[in-house]
Amino acid sequence: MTLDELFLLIPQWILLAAAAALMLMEPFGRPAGRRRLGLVTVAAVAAAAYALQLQWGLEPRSIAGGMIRIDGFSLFFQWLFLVIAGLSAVLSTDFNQREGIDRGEYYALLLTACSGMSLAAMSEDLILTFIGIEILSLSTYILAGFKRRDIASNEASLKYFLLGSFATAILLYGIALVYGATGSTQYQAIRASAALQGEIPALLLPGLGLLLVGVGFKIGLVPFHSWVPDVYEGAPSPVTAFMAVGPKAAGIAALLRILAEALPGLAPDWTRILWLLAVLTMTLGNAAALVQSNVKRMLAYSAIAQAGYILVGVVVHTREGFTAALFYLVIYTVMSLVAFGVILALSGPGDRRVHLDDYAGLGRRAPYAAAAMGITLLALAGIPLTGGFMGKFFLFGSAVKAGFVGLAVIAVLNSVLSVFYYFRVLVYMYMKEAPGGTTDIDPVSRPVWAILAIGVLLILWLGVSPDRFLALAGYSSLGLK
Amino acid sequence: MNPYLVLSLLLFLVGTTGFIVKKNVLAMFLCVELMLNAANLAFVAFARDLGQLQGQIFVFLVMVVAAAEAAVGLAIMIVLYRRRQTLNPDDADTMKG
Repeated sequence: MTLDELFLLIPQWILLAAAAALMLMEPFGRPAGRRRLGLVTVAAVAAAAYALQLQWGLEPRSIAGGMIRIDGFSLFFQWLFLVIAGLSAVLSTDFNQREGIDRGEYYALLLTACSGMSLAAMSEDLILTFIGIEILSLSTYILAGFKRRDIASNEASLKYFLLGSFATAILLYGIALVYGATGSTQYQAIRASAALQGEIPALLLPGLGLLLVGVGFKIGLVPFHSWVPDVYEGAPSPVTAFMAVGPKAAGIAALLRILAEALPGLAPDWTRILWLLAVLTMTLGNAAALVQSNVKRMLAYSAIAQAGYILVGVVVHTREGFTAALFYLVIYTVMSLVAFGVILALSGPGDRRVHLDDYAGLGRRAPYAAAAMGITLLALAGIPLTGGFMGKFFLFGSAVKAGFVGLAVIAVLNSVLSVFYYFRVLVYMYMKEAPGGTTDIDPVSRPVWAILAIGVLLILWLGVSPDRFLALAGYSSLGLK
Repeated sequence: MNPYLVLSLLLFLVGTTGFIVKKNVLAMFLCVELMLNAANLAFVAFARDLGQLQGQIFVFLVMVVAAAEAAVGLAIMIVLYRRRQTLNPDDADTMKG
């Protein structure tokens, strides 16, 4: 690796150095320095974002012996992950102090998870993709169980770990089979070898299947989703917010790179498999969300369904489909972070008030928080004038143009179905009286307010003029193919 | 076909089946380790068939990952065991729905 190549990885170096510094601040820093942990994290993310921005407009290139690709796609996802890590850190600080888990490791793990996700998105080699996903997974296993004295958090962590490591092993075996079939783990070499041999090597299809199962687990696709509701419900709320967007986006990024760059020759096969997975994921996610009475759990099922929508863009596998998927990922990230942000702002000590009944009469008790939640739920349901509508419009539009009319129809029907459970929360917030004895809402800290306000504005802005972000997504999807 | 590949496939199947049927967190974790090592064996066997060194290097990377996973996993199990005095994953059922 030349010095020039090392410079391109500076954003990652910054994240890792800050993670190490945070770990040292924990034992050696003064107790009064605790409040600064979140600040250091945000500063590191901002520094990494600045270093990243310097790479804008560079010629796409492969570095590290063809293992890492620096192109629009890498930049796009690194940006997205930095934003996710920074916002999660801000959402975490007050929550963590309230719950007594404000420790350096927490923020260090957020940053290592962020660099793992970035590696998975930049990687052009199955082994590096595997390692990136593992760095991410190991960090999130610990984060999910960070409230050590809370039994639900313990269980969330255990379930995530068991099923996650099972998925990892399946993914690795898939990689081994692909390696055996094509003689390489580098995407370009796999692509060339599969094309050269004319007929598809026998081991490649089972390898592809295992790869899809492994990544499907990480993204939380049905039928590999059984861990999602329990883990999202049990984990501390800011961690849930992080997990709902970060690992999901990283999984989609890895999937896009593998399918579009390494295995375009198998497109007929993986389109068929992913078509089925997308339909199952959307339908079962929405159906299960209908019957939930815990808001956090309901949003967990909704997150599963949303991953199904994003998968539509992968199934379509045209440039337009990829662009729409990336665009929807941005919107989904904003919507998810705001929704979970409201939940954690309202949940109260011990993270307890997450039941639908706790949201009754919220429109009067906490008008601003209720408005933020309301707009976000409308966006998640895909109501026009919100970013959610625009995202779905481009996704399903790309499906129709590429001839996947059936898939688009199923997706639209699913959106209609999802309206029911999103609107039920709205009904509770605005049309029900608060039951007697409900305690008042805790004051929400200023940084959290700022994030909620910016998020809501972004949702509305993307619903009216999506051009800029769409152009960005389009530029990024150029890296594929 | 390379006999080592057959062995690797068998190991993988044993690991997968074990993970699904076992009712003990530690045993399930050992099954995952079995699956990882099955993949390692496959890497080495393929590397020999292909006359490459790459596949053998991957094994070392996978071993490091497996060690890190073991460290995290055992810590999680210990925390849960302190709370519940059980290693049966079915007892971890606080959340439903």
